[in-house]
Amino acid sequence: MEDREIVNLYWERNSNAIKETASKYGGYCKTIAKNILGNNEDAEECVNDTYLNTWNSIPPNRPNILSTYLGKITRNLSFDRFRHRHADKRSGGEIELVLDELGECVSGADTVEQEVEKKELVRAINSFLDTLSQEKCNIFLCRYWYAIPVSEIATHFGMTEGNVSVTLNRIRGKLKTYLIERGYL
Amino acid sequence: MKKEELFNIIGEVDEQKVAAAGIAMNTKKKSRPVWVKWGAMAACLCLVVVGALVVPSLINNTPVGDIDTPPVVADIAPMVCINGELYRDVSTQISYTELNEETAYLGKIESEISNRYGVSDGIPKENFQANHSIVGSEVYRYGDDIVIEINGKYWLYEKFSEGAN
Repeated sequence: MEDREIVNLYWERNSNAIKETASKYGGYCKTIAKNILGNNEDAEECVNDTYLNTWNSIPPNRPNILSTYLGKITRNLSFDRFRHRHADKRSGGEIELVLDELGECVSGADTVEQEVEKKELVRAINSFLDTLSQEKCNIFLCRYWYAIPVSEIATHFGMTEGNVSVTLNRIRGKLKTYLIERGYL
Repeated sequence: MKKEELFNIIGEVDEQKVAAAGIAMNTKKKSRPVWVKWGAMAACLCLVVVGALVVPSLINNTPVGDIDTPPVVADIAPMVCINGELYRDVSTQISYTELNEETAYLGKIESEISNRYGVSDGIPKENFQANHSIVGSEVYRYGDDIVIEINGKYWLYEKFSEGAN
């Protein structure tokens, strides 16, 4: 079924919307949740929460890209769950590594509390991504949006793990410089 | 800013970019077959071996024939030996009308030198001998030079003197 038709089912409050979503994007959402949480059980629960959240948010929303809309909900729910469960201890999952890597780009001092400042930061990172080649942008987002392991990225992009790590390291360095130059760090 | 905040902020970036990355991740790049890597290595090895054999002889300016290889007959111009003189093909065709009364029939090419390895230096030495496959072709005098009829066409062979090459 086309995404547009699935969204229409949500708007019609037709419960088949969830069935169709699960059929088309269940695996996609579970992959994202598992990348962040590291286990099947938690990932499954997050995916179910994603369906509920989507049901409650469409309408009023009408997503342009349904996959990303669902993925974003899954990502947020999974990350919230991760933070609650692993507030005091390290789980050793992929997300720990992802966060450690992102830690190289930030000061770790002040927190971003204002919504306005968050929006500015999102704009800045979007602009930064525009400076990258398409492939580098894809690699960056695969790692830091989807939290995909480096080994999988290497396989899918026809690179060695070493190449992917070096590429990510350079992008993080550029991002840090970019944020410092614009006064965000 | 903390790393968790950065992770959340990255979660808000342009959905088109996120979708493109997702598609790229699902479109597996075709990795090169293993044989390409090994084939390339084998080709490099061959080049090294051939280079090791040929380069020293080039550096020492030693004729390749001296290192147990055949004489380079192919590098010598097509020639014939007629009445003790050498004549060389100059790739010029003579029309039948150009042949006049001074053009005298001399005879036919009778033999072809052997170019088997080590037997000849590629230069015909016997009378009515050629260093290429024209046995049976008729030879005519044409001024100081000769003309040889090959497959119905007349080809000019100029008198060849030592050092002219």
